[in-house]
Amino acid sequence: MKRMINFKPAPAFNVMLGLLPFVLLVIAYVVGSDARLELNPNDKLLPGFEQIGAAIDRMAFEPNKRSGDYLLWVDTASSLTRLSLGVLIAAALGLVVGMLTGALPLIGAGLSPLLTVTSLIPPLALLPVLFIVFGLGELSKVVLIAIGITPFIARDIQRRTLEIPSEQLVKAQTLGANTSQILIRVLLPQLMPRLIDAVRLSLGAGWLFLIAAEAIAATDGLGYRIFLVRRYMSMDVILPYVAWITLLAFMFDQALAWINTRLYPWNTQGGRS
Amino acid sequence: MIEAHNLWKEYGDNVVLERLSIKVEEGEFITMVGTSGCGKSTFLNFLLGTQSQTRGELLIDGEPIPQEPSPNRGIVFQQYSVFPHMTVLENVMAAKAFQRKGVSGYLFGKARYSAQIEATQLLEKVGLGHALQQYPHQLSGGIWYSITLGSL
Repeated sequence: MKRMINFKPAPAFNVMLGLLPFVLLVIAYVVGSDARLELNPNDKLLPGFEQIGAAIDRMAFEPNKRSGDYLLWVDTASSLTRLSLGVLIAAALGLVVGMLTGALPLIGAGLSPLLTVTSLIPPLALLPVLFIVFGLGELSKVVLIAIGITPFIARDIQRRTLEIPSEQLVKAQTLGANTSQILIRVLLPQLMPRLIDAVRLSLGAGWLFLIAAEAIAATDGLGYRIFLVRRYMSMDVILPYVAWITLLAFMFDQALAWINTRLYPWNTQGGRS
Repeated sequence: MIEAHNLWKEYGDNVVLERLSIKVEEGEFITMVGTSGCGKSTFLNFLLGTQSQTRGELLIDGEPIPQEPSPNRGIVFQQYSVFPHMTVLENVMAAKAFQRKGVSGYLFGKARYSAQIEATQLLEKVGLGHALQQYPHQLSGGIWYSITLGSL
């Protein structure tokens, strides 16, 4: 008998093992849902697949009776606009601040302590301030996401900048490069794949801030809808919405990973310095 | 010409290098031999300008050595001497771009075209014509040296 740490499943078995928990979860849900619906056909807590299907149909493929909108798509569009704006702003700010504080000791000395302190502020605690300053509109939601993940990205990029071997910087200087040439030609391209990685890691937090902001003050959006229908215990809407958000998050993550391997082949193939 | 007069390097009480004096003429080829920890790298770092002596003076052509690396003192590191995010061709072209004034370190238009031709010829001469579009990690360490020397 092999030791457990050396026991590796065969590839096909591996896939099955991975799928097993999902199958078990679905089975457990169906059993629980059936049991409850049998006792009370109007049960709302664990809706059956028919109820969920009907809710999806109602939210995604039929115009809303009051507004005439296809709610799921309207919600998705406004949520994704907020999220992508916030994340883009955070990525741009984080890249610039991280690279400059990492590469230029003068700027690093001046900004690093501030960066550390700001990264410790719980962004959600600032939400009321944002609502007061920027109002209840789109701006405060975008700003919350940006404020929430910029310090993380900036600190990550700062560390990545410091990790680039100093030999490369010396080398560039002996070839005659000035500061801006080193920043733009040596450091920036090597930081781009790291930036994409940092964005992938911070997307989870981005969703968190988005849904929190929408739950508190919004008139549309995925988070808004979930918290709205919660009042009617509409699990048949909440569950597909959560699944949809998860699917979107998964697709973004995979897309960014794909972009990284396509744009920066030297990075993923082990060319990292 | 490089001249060192009575160089010392101390970290507190710890003396790393003491009473080093040497004169190297232009074009002279010298080798340094010594046990590990005797200060060879420290002295090379003085020459590069990444470290400085605590006593004595170090002159290049009669002037004190600049306190930062510059194009008049080249180096080939054992590791990290090529830029991992550039292809072989780009490595050599970047070296040409760094020699010119500019903000980005990229070349454009005519300058780019002529640098590309020059770099290609250079790499073909050292037998790397087949590897122009390859990244350093795809090649062996020995070839990296050729690229580095080519870009000097």
